[in-house]
Amino acid sequence: MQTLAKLAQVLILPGALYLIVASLFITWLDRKLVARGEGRVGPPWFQPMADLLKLLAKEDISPLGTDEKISALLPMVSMASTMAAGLCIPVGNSVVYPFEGDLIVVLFLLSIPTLAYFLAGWVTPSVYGVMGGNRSLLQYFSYEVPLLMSLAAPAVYSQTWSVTGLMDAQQGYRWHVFFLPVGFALAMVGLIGKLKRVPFDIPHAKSELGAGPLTEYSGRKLALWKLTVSLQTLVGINLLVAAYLGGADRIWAHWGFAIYAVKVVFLVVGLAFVQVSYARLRIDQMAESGWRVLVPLGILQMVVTIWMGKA
Amino acid sequence: MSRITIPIGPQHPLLKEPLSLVLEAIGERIVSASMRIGYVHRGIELLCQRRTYVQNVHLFERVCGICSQVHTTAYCQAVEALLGLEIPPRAAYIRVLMCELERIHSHLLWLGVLAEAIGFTTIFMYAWRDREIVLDLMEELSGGRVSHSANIIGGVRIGVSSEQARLLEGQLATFAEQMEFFRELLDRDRSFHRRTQNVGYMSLEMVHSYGVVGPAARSSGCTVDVRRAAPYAAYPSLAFEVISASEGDVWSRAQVRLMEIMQSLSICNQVIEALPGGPLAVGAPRRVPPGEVVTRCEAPRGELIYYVRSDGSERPARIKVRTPTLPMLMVISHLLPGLETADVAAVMAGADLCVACADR
Amino acid sequence: MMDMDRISDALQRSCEDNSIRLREGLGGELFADVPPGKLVVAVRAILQEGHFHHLSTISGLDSGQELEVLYHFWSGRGVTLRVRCPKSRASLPTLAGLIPAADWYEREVHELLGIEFAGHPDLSPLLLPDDWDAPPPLLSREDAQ
Repeated sequence: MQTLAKLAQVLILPGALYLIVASLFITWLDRKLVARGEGRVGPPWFQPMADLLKLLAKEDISPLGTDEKISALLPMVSMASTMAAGLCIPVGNSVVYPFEGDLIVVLFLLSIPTLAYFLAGWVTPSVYGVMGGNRSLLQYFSYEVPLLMSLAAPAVYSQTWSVTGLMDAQQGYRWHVFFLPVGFALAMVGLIGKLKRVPFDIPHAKSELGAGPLTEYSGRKLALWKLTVSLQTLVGINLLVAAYLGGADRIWAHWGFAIYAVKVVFLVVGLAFVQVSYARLRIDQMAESGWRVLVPLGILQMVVTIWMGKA
Repeated sequence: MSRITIPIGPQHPLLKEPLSLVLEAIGERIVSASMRIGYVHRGIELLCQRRTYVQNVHLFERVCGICSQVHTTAYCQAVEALLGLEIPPRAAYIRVLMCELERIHSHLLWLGVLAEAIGFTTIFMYAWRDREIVLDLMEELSGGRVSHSANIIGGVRIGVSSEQARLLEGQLATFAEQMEFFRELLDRDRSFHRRTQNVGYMSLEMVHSYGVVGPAARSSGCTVDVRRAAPYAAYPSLAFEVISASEGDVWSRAQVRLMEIMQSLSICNQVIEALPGGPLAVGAPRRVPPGEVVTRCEAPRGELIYYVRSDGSERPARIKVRTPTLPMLMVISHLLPGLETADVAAVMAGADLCVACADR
Repeated sequence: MMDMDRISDALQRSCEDNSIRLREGLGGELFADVPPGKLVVAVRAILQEGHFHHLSTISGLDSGQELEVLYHFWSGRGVTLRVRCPKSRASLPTLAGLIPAADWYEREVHELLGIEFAGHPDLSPLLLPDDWDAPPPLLSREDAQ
């Protein structure tokens, strides 16, 4: 019976099914907000779902010279690892599989899609794929370090390396974002870099590289990639909510999910706002801002955090 | 690092019209670029020799989907010169009005295309949204958003009623406010600066040697504007400034165009105020006496030149069209080497290409 | 018409044998008939004349007996140089070395009328498809057959 309950948790709530549905919802919300910001109408609520189903039904074409097996494996691996990361992060008050040190595992799992994305560009014969792959790797090195630092800061501050532990440490409105604002800002920038959104949409810059590494993807594989991006957005936001915004505050036990949902929506609005407000950076400008601005800020935040812990 | 070849076109998200640009890059740096056009060559120069002068008005309107009005203006002026016709003042004013409205919407279209190329979708959407105001006005005046059929040999086909004049004034005032918003936005927005400043520098020597014209030339320090240097239609009696800048990068091309929109707005308002009465057109014979003439107009992208040769029949013996995009296309492959691949988008979009114009 | 006088003088001086014939056309355009051999000299004279003249375009046409090539220069006022060459020997010196802008304009005249430009770096098709095998499209019908 217990096994069955656990399985339901993994597969339905707060596991796979919830993650997919919620990620499609925030994809819609994001698209709608961006559209309104740009003066457009935006899609109806079922659009991401419709897109996904349509792509799943489409013919799968891959050009000559593609490594079929790897190119099919890559989106599956990225989706699986993103979902696995999602299982360690609290959704409302519930979490499927928390353990001490899962923050490290989550960060590791979340970096797999980026590497898969890079490989996706390399296994196709398209020059856009190769260049997009190169760019995504270069970008990975620029945002991942500040992102790791920004998530290590609350861990050091609260002396726990578990995401659930981080959430617990913030109960009573002692949210990390109040104590470590720079860390939160870095985490947001790092997340935007990870999700390859404006102004860091460099690996798939439409006007230069078409769709970058995904140029030669179609049909089901492309659907999986699109779903992975949605899932990554949701899981990344979940992580930030748990690590910086206090997750679900336990004082309002019955409203845990609602509180969590409000925070998620808040972050989606933030992401959409950034998307509307900036032009794409060049890859050199991105690397420069990563290493000259974000990394020093991350180090500063770490030093301050350690000092705060001592005091 | 090894060299890679990046094909841009004939179909590519950057290009709104087909052309083929082949880039050689080492890493992210462009080392050489070569270009091939002709994908939308329609043989208009041959086709026009088999049409009568009257039919050709509509043929030349279709050389370009954006600057259709200025093409017919240049063509009609050429034929009128051969016929020795003087068009009524009202017609001259209405031609100017349509040409300037066209310049406004063309420049805004360009701003949108540039913004999209550097990944700034918001400005793209805003620019194209406000462009609709002008397109609606042109539709109100002529019945067409893109092909207006406003010009005929000997004058114009459309009048401007007093209600339309009031509507124009009101809408253009709204539009002017929007343009102020754009100016402020582009002045302040740092991410736009980072992608356009010091990108795609074109020197005055390049402008001269390749014969680059229009706003692109004027943003590199050249001050030539056909409307000022050889005024046609009603331009001699209208006041406007020739905008120029000296930086020569994509950013200054944006600045020059935005300022030109303001000048065009002022010209439109002057036209509405001073619009003379009288007939819209004078009768023109079908047969054109033998002769030849060269006319030039300032299209939104710069000097547009028509050479018309008549052999005394109903059909032209030869018409040659040179659109302002052609010299710009020539210069582009010299602007690209040494740039980052990401800047190709900014330079190509910033060049304001009209490939259909160039191919004819 | 100060500029016009200067440019006509410059053109006349460039060829002392009076082989350049000048005529003012419609709209104040100056038409100058230049023998093929004097083309480069005449163009130099225009470029060296104080006011900057840019090459607007080159048009070619088939006037029945012979081919005409017109070089349209402009600096506020237009100057058009006209060069005639027989169909049997359709070849002119290139201006591409003198004026970079002439490059594509000559390519266009070459492919539409079949005129050779001696010394041109690359006369590959510009507007027509690569596999175009019919005669140049702007040649009159009788010649094409």
